Amino acid sequence: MEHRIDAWLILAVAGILGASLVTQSAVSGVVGTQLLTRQLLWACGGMLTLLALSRVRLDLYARLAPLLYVVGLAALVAVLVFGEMRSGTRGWFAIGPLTIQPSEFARVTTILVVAAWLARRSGSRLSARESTVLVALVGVAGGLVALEPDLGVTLTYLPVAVAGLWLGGLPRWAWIGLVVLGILLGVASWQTVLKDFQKERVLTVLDPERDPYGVGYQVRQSKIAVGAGGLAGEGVGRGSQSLLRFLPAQHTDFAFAVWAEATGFVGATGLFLAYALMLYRIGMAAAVAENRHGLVLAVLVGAWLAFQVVVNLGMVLGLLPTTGITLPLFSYGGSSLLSTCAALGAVQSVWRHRLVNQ
Amino acid sequence: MSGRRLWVVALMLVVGGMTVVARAVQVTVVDGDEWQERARRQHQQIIQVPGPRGTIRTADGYVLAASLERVAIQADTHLLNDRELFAKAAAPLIGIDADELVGRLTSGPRTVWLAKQVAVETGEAVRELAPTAVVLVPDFERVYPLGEVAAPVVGFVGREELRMVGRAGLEHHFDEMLAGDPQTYLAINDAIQRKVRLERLERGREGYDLELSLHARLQAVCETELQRAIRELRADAASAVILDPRTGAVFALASVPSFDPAAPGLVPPEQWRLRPVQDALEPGSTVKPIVAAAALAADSIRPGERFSCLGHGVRLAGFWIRDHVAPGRYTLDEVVAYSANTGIIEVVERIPEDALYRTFAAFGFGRRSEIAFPAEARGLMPEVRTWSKLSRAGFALGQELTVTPLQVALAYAAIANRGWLPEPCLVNSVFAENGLVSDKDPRLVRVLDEALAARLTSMLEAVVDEGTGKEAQIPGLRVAGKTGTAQRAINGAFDDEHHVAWFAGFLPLPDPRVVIVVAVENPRVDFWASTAAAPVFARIALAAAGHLDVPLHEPREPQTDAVRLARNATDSRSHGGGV
Repeated sequence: MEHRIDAWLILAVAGILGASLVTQSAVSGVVGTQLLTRQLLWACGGMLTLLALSRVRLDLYARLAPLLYVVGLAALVAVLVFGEMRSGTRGWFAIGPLTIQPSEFARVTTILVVAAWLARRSGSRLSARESTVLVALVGVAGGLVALEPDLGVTLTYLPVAVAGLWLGGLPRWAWIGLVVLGILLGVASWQTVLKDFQKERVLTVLDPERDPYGVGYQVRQSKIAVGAGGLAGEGVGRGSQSLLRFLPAQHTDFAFAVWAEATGFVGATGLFLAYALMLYRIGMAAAVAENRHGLVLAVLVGAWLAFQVVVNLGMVLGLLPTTGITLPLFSYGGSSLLSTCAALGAVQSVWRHRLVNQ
Repeated sequence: MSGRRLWVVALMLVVGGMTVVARAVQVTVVDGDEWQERARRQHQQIIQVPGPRGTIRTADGYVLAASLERVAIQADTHLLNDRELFAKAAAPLIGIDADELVGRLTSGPRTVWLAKQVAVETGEAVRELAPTAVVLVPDFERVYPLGEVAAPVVGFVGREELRMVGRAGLEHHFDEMLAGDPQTYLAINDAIQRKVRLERLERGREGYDLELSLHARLQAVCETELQRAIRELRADAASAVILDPRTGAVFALASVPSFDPAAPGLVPPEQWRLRPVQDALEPGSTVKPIVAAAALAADSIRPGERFSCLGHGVRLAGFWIRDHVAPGRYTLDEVVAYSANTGIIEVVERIPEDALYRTFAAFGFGRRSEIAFPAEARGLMPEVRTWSKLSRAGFALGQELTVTPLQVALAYAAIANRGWLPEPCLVNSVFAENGLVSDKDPRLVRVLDEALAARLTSMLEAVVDEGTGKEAQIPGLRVAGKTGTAQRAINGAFDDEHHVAWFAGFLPLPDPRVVIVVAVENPRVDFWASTAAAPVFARIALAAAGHLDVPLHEPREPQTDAVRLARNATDSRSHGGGV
């Protein structure tokens, strides 16, 4: 039995995409108009993808998941070899004027495979071996992304693993152990892996005026943009932080700052509500899921998107370090937009194939 | 899987979401003003842009120098979608080669000045081509509507970025007054400190306007006549001064050859000089009336005394000074009228050295006139203690000192003005937007008593009526004046190649309105002042009289005794000394 698609979710997604296109048009004077055109095409493509994938039966996702996962891993390996280098990261395939970022798609295939695998096992607690398998499924894909190296995208694999473990179930001591392990890893990586600029970014969160023209510049300019928007905003295409190019990465990581400067607290709140609605409807899909597979799939997608939204907004508002995590459906980028829509399409498949009597 | 687990996930989401919302409220609403202030601080900047430079105009209302409102065009090459297309469209508008513009847009720095001092409409047309990439900055262009007329007086400007700086002439001397204060603009800066937009906040003091005492028409006549003299005499250069003996107001200061002030670089820098002020030359016999004044003032000669003038000249300290007057005994007036060298030497030998020096100094020789002009020449006037036995004779013949044509004009003005030496005045008034800033009152110093001045005037009238200055006669006007043919000391020695032909005089008698001095440097066709300089003087004087509405009278017979007595003297000429 197939239900109709969730109009509330479509409304939320359309609202976010609309705001995104308005923002892209506002910065087109700075970054060029061709990006707006492309984003418009991708938004249409994303919507079509969402609608198409919502019709695919849920069990097909489970059956295809291992294959898609392997294809995703192969793409991540291939991009390390054949990929195009962009500001120090080898993460893109260039095809003519277009570029494809496999790490965005591989995250969705990872979610599919984790959901399929979690749905097949039984019991309320994950065994040590099962936990290892789950962490390995996410870790191999995330590790390949980390090799590019793309810290921002790697971090977005983290909520998939944590939500997977949470849904699978771990004893309390294991969670305490994970938190301790996380702290230890954090300290250890601070000492060894993290580069100076990354440490500076963390320190800048604690002390925003630490280096206002160096590492702190981006966040400072972003806060100025959001703050200058005030309650009602400066108007679309009138935001001076954006027009005068003080704002970095205007079309990608800091696109929300452009929106907030143009539309103020009112517009920002509207966007927050759209994301809240979207996440709420993902949660509703999870709640009415026909089976455990559907529930896990919806929760994993929701956890990932919620993490990415909160971390990006936290970065733009100076609450979290600058990590290069984009705002889903809002920041410029075709791979991110299409993969997000694909994931939402899978969630809608959960919604459409829910039990009749619920 | 328990519902509790989902609740934990939901709770974490809500906490995360609320944190973000709370932060958004803090940044936009609570601290909004502070962030807006920070935005304003980094976007806006108060800058100063030069304002319009003052106008320089003549007493008869002609504009010699003015500033036109222009713009400078700046482009941010990174914001040009298609540089070649833009260059092809913009190049014809600003009048440069399209390929060159493409080169500048593609290989230069990010921000490029496309053009400066272009018409506002042109700038706006270029901005239309790429409104986001092109910025127009207020600019001015200095124009000289009369071209070469008075160019060495006015001078010219150079540019430092958008600021105009006076480099020569009055543009240099009055640079601060003409420049005014910078205009204050609010600049909207982008992240690389590029000025995206300008709004004028405050008008600074605009440059003051100068009204000169010059009369453009007299100035033009002088320059035309000097050019003609250079052409006809194959001379190197020529100077002329016209001034009002009663006030010192300078009506014309001509220096030929000159230059186009809009393109001074096309000629060698020595042509930028204002010769009548900045060049000192041997005065020749134009100083003979000053020697006569010294002799009379010091009572060195008796009334009616006559001096031997030997046609073949006189031997002096081993040098042979030849003469060119009919041999005979001449009065002082006649000595001056016929420019008799032997006679003036006999006169000057009677004058105590100090008295001679003091008289020359009183007439203004050897010091700057303090005319408002840069690099005025002082002229060479050796002090008495350095004099040799020849020095007094050298002074009498106008060979041992150098003077500027302006100094000669002022000295003659003292004679014309009944003994009162005027201070020269080149700038009549300085005007601000809202009225007069400063005006100058004439200042006069008595250097001769009135009777002596009258006697010198009659001697000089005799020069023109019957003496060496006949070529300076103008029918219907009584003219007084003196010729001077000087040899120039080149590298400390006189030669036969370098001369200055002078004529200094004033008119009309009995109440002179103008003093005119003409000096022609190195005339090759004819170096004798009587025929080289005097006709130039006459032509300029006629134009000046017409321009200043000097009334004519009926032609009359010459009257002075000196002239009648010397009437039969021949006008034979030989070389050497002054004429």
